[in-house]
This record gives sequence, C-alpha cells and structure tokens, in this order.
Amino acid sequence: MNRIISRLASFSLAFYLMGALVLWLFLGIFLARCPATDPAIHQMNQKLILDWLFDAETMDWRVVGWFLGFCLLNLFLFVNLAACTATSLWNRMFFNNDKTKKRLLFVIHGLIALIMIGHLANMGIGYKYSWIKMAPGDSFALPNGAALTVSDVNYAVPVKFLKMDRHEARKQLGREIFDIKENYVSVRLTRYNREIAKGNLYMLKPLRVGPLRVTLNRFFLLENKGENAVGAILTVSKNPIHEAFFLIYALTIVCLLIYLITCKQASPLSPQKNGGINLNQ
Amino acid sequence: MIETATILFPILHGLGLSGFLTALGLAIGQKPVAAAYAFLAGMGGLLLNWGLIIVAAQRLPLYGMFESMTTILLIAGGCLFFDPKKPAGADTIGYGFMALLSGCLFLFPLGLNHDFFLYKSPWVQCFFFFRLLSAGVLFFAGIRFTVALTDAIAPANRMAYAKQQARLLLAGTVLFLLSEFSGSVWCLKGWGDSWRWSENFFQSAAIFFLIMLNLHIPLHLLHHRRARTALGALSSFAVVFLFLW
Repeated sequence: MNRIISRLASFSLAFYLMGALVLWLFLGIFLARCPATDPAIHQMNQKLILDWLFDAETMDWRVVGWFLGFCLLNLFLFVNLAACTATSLWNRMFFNNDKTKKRLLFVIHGLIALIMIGHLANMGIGYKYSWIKMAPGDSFALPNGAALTVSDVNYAVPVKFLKMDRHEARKQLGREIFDIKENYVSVRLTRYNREIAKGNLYMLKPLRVGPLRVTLNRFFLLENKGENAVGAILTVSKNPIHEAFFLIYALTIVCLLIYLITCKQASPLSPQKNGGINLNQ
Repeated sequence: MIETATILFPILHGLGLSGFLTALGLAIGQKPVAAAYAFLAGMGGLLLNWGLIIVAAQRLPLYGMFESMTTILLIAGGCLFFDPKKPAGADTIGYGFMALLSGCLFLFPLGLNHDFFLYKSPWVQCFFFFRLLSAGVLFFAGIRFTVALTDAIAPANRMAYAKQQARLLLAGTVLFLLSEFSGSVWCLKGWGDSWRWSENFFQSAAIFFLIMLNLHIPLHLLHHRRARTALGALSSFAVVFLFLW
C-alpha cells in the first residue's frame, strides 16, 4: 500500500502528467482552430459543462473524447497532488531546516488542490445560459419560476458597427467612440411575476443578484424590427462559489510571492540539504 | 502625432537592433565595456519607442505584436543588464537573443495596435501588463538556461545557478498567475464565467504546465544537467512564443 501511495505521490508522475497535459492542451488548441470541431468547442461555453456533456444534440465525439481525456489527466494530477501534499510535503514540514518554506510549499499545494476542486465545481454547480439573443420586451424563463426581461436597449453608437465584420468593428470601436456608460441594457428579474431586481447591464459590468449574474456579451442588429433596432446577447449564470474560488486563487498567488521572497533570503543549499541531489553535474 | 510616431517607430527600432548587433559583435571580439555601451544604446532606442507609444496612443504599450515585443525586449534587456550574478558568456548569448527577437519584429508591421474600448478596463490592462512582464522574465530565464547549456558555468557554481533559475521561473509564474487572475475576472465580468473552453484558455493552461514542468523535474532527470537546462531553455522560449502567438 505504501509503495502505491509513494508512486502516486512521486515527482516523476507529476512531471509526466504535466507533460501529457501540455500535449493534450495543444490538441485542444488544434480542435478549437479546426473548422470541423470549432463549433462543438464553442458549444461547451453555452451551458454548464455537465449539461453540455449529456446533451445529445451538441455531441461531437472528437470534442467529447478530448474533454474526457482532459478530465482524466487532471484527475490523475489531482490524485498525485493530493498524495504528494498529504505524505511528502506534510512530513517535510516537521524537518528542522527551512520550516517556513516547507510550510508555505505545503499550503501552496493545498491551495492548488482547492483551485482544482473549484474548477470541478464550476462544471456542475448552479446553471448557465449563454448567448441568449434578446430584443427589448423579450423574456427568458429561468429555473424556479424566475424570468429575465429586457426592458430597453441603449446603443449610443452608429449601427453601422453592427453591420460590419466583427473584427473590423473591433478595430474601429476605440475608447473615444464607444463609451461603456452610454451603451447599456435595462433588465428586470422576476420570480412568479414579482419583481426581485432591476438594473442596467454594461459591458464588463454585470447585474448581480446574490449568486445570480446577468452579463451583457454584446449588441446585435435585429433584422425584422426596423432598420436601426438593436438587441442584446446576454449570459445568465448562477454560481455560488465564484467568490471563494477567486479568494483561494489570490491567496495562492500571495503564498507563492512570500515563498519566492523566502527563497531569495535563503542561503544556497548544500547537496545534503537538497535531499542529497547534486545539481553540479 | 500618430503619423510622426509611425515614421519614427521603424527608425528607433532599427537603432535598437543595430545596438544589439554591435554589442554582439563587440562581445564576441572580447570588448565587454564597449559592448555594454552599444547594448545600452540599443535599449535607448527601444525605450524611446516605448515612450513614443505611450504619448501617441495615450496608454501603456501592451497590445499587438509591436507593442508587446518592445515591452518584452525592454524587460528582458533590463534584467540582462542589471543581473548581478551574470556568468561569463551570458552577455554574448543575451545580446544574440535580443538581436534575434528585435530582428524578428521587422517581419511585422511596426505601428500602433488599434484602440479598443475594453482597454479602458483595469482588469484588461492588468491581464496584458502582467502577461508581458512574465514573458520578459521568462525570456531572460531562457537566455540564462542557454548560457548554462554552454559550459560557461563552473561546476562549483552550478547548483547556485540552478537555484537562481528556479527562482526566476517562480517569479515568472507569479507574474503569469497575476495576469491569469486578472484575465479570469475579465472573463467573469464579460462572459459570466471565470473559465472558457477556447483556444486562448487552452494556451494559458499549457503555458502554466510548461513552466511547472521545470519546477517538478524528477530525480533521474535532475542528474542530467544538459537535459534539464535544455528543457528549461526550450520551455521558456516556447512560453514567450505562445505569449506572442
């Protein structure tokens, strides 16, 4: 049993798993760039990943296969990380030398394990409805009797930007032309026809009601409602762990920074202190 | 102003490249002091371009190939010049890589990146700022790994050098994670989620694991100095390439 745990906690396993993940991610980049699989990758962002996985309509075996392989590699890496943290890094904390550094290393690995759990939770907790195209007056039904209604769309720049190629529009929509505060969408949130919140959505400034988040993705031109009628593309997501996830993420960076400073202060290690490894070869 | 700047950008960048090439030639010819002055002249050219971008675009030079590469070269060049623990031969290799990257920039248009309204957001600015800082540090780490490949480090100093390299990679990681943190907040505010299944996110994750590979080298590879340093150099340069891709 001890042998299995030490194998699972080994540096070699971590190294090869990370190498495999790099290759797997490059395969993912290829799939995202390939015209045949790009729409399927894009579909992964439309809803919660767990809902996407069980939706037969959007299924593409290449992307599903890649995703399952990615999950499997991450699962192995998580087991390796957990085993290494619980055995080797835990035991090292009680060595007499460099106690602060060893404690920090233990904490950093623990926090990274929590970040991985956060990513996993992000795949299945709450809900997500992305890329909802809405015109003024439209409503979108949400779980538990809730509904989102667009009251008004204020698009203060010429609609020609919505008619041109998206990349070309991006080049022309500079800070002087597009004022974030002047382009917004007014929305109402109701539950069983009772208003629970209302407000304006701006670019990069979503409306938040507890764990619920309504985000303005972009504006679009309504084709059948007059020449200058503009609608909005929205995302509604509910995730109670985002704040905790970002807190852990920030804490990991702070711990890494402190670790870096303690490394700088530490004197060069002798081969004995370095676990007998002679790097001078 | 932008028209004048657009004329000056290639001239100043040319000055930078000439400085680095002259420094390389002088360093090969065993004239380190003159090489250092030539290198400083090259850095001066880049610094002028950097300032010119700020004045012309009214923002930090963070976007597009020209602005990004100028920033990365300045950071890496600054690290190279002020490195107190520089081994012999580091300058020559450093000047060579700086000249190579500066020369590559002539393959791209030397002009300002288009303005975009999202560049107003502090999260977007932090994302690109820390990303370029990290790329600069990692490019410098790549130069140092290449130095270690050439037997320039005396055997007695190799362990200390390897530890300095690990610290440099760790510094690059911290800067990279700061950028990724800002990027995740940007993503949450713009798309309603902290992660997206897209090429850019796969690339960021690949960069993270590429850096981490070097900090988790198993014992049997740790004994092979050349394999270890080659992996370090390759992954550092690969990361910079991915940043600029």
